[in-house]
Amino acid sequence: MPSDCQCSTHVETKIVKEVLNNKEATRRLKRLEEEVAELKQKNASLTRRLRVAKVSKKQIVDDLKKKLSNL
Amino acid sequence: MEFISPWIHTTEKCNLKCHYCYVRGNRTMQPGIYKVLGEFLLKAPTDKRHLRFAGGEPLLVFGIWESFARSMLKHKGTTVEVLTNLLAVPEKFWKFSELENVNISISIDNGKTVKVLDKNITEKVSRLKNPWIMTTVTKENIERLDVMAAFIGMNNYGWCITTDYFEATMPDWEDLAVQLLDVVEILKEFNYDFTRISFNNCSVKSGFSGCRAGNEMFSVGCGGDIYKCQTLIGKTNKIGSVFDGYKRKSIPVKKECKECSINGLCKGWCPIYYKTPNPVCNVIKLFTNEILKEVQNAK
Repeated sequence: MPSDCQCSTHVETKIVKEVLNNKEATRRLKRLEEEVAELKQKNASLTRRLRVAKVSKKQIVDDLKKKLSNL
Repeated sequence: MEFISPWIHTTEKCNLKCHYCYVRGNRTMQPGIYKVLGEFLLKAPTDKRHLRFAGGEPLLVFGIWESFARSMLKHKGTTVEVLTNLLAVPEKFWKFSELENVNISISIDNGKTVKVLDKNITEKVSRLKNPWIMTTVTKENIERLDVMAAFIGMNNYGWCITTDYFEATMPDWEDLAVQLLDVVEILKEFNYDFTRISFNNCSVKSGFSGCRAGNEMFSVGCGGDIYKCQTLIGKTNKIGSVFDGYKRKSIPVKKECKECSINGLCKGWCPIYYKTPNPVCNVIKLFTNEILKEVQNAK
């Protein structure tokens, strides 16, 4: 069992496998996508901010790497 | 019983004073309690025992619990996790951390004042095999999560991100969503394995149990009393003790969770304090939507 988190433990659960593998999963993931789209539609400022967050992080990551190597 | 996983409250002492911490007191668990706890765990009707050594700061009292942990590890099916801030490390601990079935989870928030990501901590973390990083997101460190993400991405460390249980230091949900999706974008730059990240107990990794407080997961206070959760230690609602055992109780799944599109991946965050409906569910959905895409693309 690998470490996970203070409030979780690694065990085999059927639920996760089902969610990722079967038809019900496909239906639910489609629903998730729709819910996320609706959420963004209802929150204009969130959508705007998320769009900014989506911009390529290459330059930022290069800066962060430098920052971390100088720790 | 699939498994048993006690949170072992090794001590209430700590070398930090995090503003969101709920632990108070000055007690330490004594060897006699460990002995009874060991007998109790070995009698449990399961062959999977995941012992979480925590506190307070467990490394302040490593000398008291090390022999107990080593003796438990001799029993097949036992794994040990140490939840530490890694600030004061006894020399003998490094050897212990290399043992098979021992994992170390380190709290790093990169806050302005507590659990700072600095050279001291990064060097120590690099000495551990497969360490897992735990970050509590608060108003104090939310703007500094990008640095944490780069650190995690560079090393492909496992990362458990949570908000504080009591929501006292909770950032605005929209700010949280933006920062978390920013984190995902940064991690992508490192080809990060997104099965190694969780947010408020939502993970796409197969086998992630979520919190089962009061059931397979419970907390043992310094005196041997058993509570559903570590946040309840010392309060009046104990559910048993290592001397007499405890009665397991299933935690009912919330109505909103049953009907949710990500039920199964999300484990409903904290079964005790998290109230639904909750705007943080929006954040969990946005986050899950992003990391699922990444995991599926990586297949």
